[in-house]
Amino acid sequence: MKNVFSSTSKKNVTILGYKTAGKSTVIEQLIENKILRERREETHGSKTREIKIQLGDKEHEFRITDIGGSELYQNMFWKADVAKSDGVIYVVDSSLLNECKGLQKDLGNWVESEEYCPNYQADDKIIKCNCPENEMFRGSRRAKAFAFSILDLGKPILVLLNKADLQENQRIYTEDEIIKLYKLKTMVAHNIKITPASALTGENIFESINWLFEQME
Amino acid sequence: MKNILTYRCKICSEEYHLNLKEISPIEAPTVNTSNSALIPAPRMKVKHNIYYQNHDTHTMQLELNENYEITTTKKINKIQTILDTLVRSNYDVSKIVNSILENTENPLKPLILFISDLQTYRSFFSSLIKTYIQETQEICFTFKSNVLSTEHRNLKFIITTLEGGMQSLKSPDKIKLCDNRYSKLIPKSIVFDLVSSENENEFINQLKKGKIKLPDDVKVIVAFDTRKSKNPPLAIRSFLLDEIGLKHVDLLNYQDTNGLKSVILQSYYNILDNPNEGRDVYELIDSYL
Repeated sequence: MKNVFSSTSKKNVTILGYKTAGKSTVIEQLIENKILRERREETHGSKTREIKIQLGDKEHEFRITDIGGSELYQNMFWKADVAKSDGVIYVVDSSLLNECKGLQKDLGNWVESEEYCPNYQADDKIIKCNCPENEMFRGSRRAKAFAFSILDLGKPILVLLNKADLQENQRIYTEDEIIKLYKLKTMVAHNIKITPASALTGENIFESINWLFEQME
Repeated sequence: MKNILTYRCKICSEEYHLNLKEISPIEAPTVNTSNSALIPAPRMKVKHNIYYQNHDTHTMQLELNENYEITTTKKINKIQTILDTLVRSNYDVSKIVNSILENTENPLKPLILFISDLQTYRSFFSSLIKTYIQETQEICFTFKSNVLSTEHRNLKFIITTLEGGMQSLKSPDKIKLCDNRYSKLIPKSIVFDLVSSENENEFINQLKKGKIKLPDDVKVIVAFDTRKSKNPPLAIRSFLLDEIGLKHVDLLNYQDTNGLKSVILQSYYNILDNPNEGRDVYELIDSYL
């Protein structure tokens, strides 16, 4: 049996985000340095792993907890896990809006809208569009709002604008647009880094994790 | 009221029986189907509905719109057929096991276990262990770990409940989880099915006292159901990670849609070197659960 203190001294990282944002894929990329699984299923609960990764000259051993992104698991696990974590990775599916024509049409007004509010008029505009991405996007924004409401200002937050690799041949949302769409700038008080990334290809994953470790040290 | 429903295959006239006492109302789905005696597909969910809608009737004779292939198919070559057979044979384990064992080239033997709702899952395992694992000695899925013996030392995978673990502890002449005397029995993956807070507490006490030892690298799934368990799953996870020192702990929820499927798939992935081996399994489970 392991000593209690030896295991609890490891850094704890929690990975949050709405369902299908790519949280589990990020972890697989971290563990395997490549993506093995051709097909994924939604995470029904939480998965905690102790892993080691090599970043430059340093080897980091830490515990990472992947939590299902549906509302059920947001309510069940997010708050408690965030409270125990030394750092948080928040994953956004940046390709979510690519096929939502209605949203794209209104995007110009949208990104200039007021602070995030679930009842804001901009949301009503989206409801008129029947794209499935609309519901996903609204859920994603609610999840982000909830996540950031429980985050401790003192903890570093890495926001990965995931699935950057999927934007080829589609409307490319700029980093700035995504930040506005998700109201990420309202979180400037946090120790936050926002970066495009692809869990699938590994783009920016390790570099940005390195930032997180620097902040946690 | 009689407790047995009789199903008759309209082609071969063979009868199958469903014992209503074995069906837990808690596990029954709430989806309503037609009151018609004609069953669209002979699956467990349908039977549950019949139980609810016809519980005041006596023995029923029901027509099925599909034949029971097991009565006519002796040689099974494809997993799909095995799964079909499993469902259509009313989970008659002995028939299934015999059919599978006849087919020595079946590449996915363990997978037949993963088809059921929770209640059937349990009874299915209980019956299966008596026949299947003693033949294959490869993988064991059991809710009663005390039935294991030295004959099963090649097992790679154990599913047990806390109740099963407790039973083995209380039976010193029987094998214990990860007992050093049977080092080859150390599992790669364990699923703990938390359904009783009493058992949870006892299990945790035994772990604390060192009476149950788990290998550091074992992949543990704690399958929980907040309707049945008083202990918060987070506390159990913290205990396993922080105090026992495990490195791989999943909390998976039976209550969620597809929760059981997730438990099954994850437990299977845990013993695979390449997760893509499980892809076919996903497709099959997806169509049956």
